[in-house]
Amino acid sequence: MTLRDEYDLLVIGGGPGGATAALVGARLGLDVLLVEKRQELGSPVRCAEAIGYEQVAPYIPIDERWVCAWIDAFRVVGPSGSAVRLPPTSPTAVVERKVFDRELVNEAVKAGATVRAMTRVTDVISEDGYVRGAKMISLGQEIEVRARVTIAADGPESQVGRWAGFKTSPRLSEYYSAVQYLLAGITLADARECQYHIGNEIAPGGYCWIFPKGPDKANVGIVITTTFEPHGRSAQDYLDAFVERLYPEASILGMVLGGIPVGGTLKQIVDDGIMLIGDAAHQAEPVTGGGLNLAMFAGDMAATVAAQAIAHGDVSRQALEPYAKQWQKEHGKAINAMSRARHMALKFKDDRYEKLIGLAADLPLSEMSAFDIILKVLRHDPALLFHAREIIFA
Amino acid sequence: MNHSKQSHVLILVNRDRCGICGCCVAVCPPNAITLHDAYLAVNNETCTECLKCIPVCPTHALYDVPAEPVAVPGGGI
Repeated sequence: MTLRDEYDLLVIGGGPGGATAALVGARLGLDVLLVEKRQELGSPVRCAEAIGYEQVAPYIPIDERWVCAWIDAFRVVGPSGSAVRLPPTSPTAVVERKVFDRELVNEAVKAGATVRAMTRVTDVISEDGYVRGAKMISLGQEIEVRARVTIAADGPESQVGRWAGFKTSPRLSEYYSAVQYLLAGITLADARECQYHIGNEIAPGGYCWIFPKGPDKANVGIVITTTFEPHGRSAQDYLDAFVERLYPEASILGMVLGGIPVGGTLKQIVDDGIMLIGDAAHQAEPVTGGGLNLAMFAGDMAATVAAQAIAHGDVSRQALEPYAKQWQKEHGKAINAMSRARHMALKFKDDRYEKLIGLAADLPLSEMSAFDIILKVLRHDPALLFHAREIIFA
Repeated sequence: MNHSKQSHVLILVNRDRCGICGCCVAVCPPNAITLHDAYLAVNNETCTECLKCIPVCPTHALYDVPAEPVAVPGGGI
């Protein structure tokens, strides 16, 4: 019951990134403490709940208790209703995050980690420029927990990152404002298809989504980029208009809100004794804003590097840097390219979206390689080549 | 809604709209907004009145009023 005052690894934040860091750290033999400020793990979630399930398999066995819908296809719907149906890039499911998050944390516990909810970190412990753990209020009691390495997995609003001196605050043009309803009493034409609706009137600088959670329920949400919003309306105003149009009779079983940094990974994500992962490090994919799988990859990488650093008795920024390097190599570069693609799409007028969707709809996508598709699209919209060069070579 | 900077405003929270998601916390340059477990607190002492938090809130729960005492819709600071 009583927490010790020292651990090898302190993970702050019990979302999928933090849970994976705790799980991998514990598997590698570290003494791990994971703290979560909320009263309950997995609640409230800030997520549309679609995951690539093959990527989570190394950490948690696939379980029907948290799978709501298996997804066969993504449909992108343009401003005037034209649509293109795309196969998923990797096998996808819509999940019940409340259950998924708790079970993932439980995997960390089974691997030997200690977990404590209702434990809010109030500051980091700083010594000689090193982060050496954190001060916190745990179940109402003020305590200090020292750690050889601290992993901040405390989300977009990361306080731990700020206290440790990282520049975590995103620009408004690099930030999605997001809101989602869980709708019930609706009829989905295809309960195995996720939909994205794009258009400057529907979702300025973003998109609306419909992700099925069964035949008669769906997460229906929106992200907008507020600097591209001309009328002084909120994300919720746009979502309400979207839902009014598509599902005027729907019941609302829940509402989730949040912000997503989408400017690409922070330049610095490690320092002496501390590493940032997930939304705290701005590791979400910038076009969709999806970050769950990426946060889990980051948690794994960070904990693995932390274990090596601890084994060598050196937790300096230099010793933790391999995490940042590996991240950049495996995901960071792609994320930065997607960030540039997002900025390109932000400038599109609705007729450009229509043209691209119409073009893609006429292609036998399932029989084509990505390279063929790109060539075909560029032949019909050569101006994209100019943008593409910016995306690939910037 | 005019988001241009006025001189000396207070940022208030409409408690009926705020979903305590922390979206505004991330974009606040001086870290003047704190998300407690079920409560959002704005520190108007450290607020620099940049007003970034106002449009970014998914429900537009934050709003600014002149720093002089005024009637407060939605329950106050």
